[in-house]
Amino acid sequence: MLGHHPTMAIALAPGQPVERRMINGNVEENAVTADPIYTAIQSDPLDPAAAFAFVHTPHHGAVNLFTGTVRDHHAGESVSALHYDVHLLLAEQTFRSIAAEAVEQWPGLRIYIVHASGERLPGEISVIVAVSAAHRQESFAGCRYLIDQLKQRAPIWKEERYSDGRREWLPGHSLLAAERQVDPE
Amino acid sequence: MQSTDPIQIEVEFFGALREYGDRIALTVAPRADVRQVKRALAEALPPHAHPLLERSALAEEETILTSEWVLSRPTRLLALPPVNGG
Repeated sequence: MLGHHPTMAIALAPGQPVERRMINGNVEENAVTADPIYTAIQSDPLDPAAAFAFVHTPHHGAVNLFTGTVRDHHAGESVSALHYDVHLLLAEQTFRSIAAEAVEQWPGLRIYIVHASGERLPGEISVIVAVSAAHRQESFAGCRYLIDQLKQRAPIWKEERYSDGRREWLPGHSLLAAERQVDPE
Repeated sequence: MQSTDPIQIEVEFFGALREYGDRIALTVAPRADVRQVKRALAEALPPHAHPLLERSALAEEETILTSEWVLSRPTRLLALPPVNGG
């Protein structure tokens, strides 16, 4: 996996900001990571709770959590698995770019983007985009922008594997500037 | 004076282009542009790969190549077919 993981124990450095929040009557302290953007490509299972924990903060009143799940069917075919081929460095770079674009449009967002690599079975989560903002309008808008841009621009390819043993690479969005268009799916 | 000797490049395949292997070595004329590199790739791949190749981008060191790019040295390129993450 590339990048750091927000669920790992975080050693508090002198001067590092600490959040204190009341949960079930108890005060819980968490380090607030200085970088409000977390991105990664992950071969192990994706964790929506880790995404929520990263973006959740008392400073923000809204959290949007988007997850993409591997479907067990597509175009009348019974899908047994999806295989994700990823260019790791270019994907991470793309995630960072689109996150920076979102923050430029909606300042103050906290953003978590993690995508799966390798084989995933139906029902497994393939992508998580989580966003928090002071208010819901920018949280919804930022989350929508990020997943739409990820699907159009991230160098990730998926191959469907069918129950009868066949496999097929799916069509997608060309990275050639002249061919870029919005995918409504 | 610039050399006119052909330049060796390697092109790494991703996604559906992996049907034709993980990478391919090519010899290309110096100062070849993206279209010329793609033409060399097309000659090395079967005809049914050509429509996919036409819609694929080429990249070098994590940068998508534009029409201004020209080949100046032996290098490794990435052939990136249309993407569909999520």
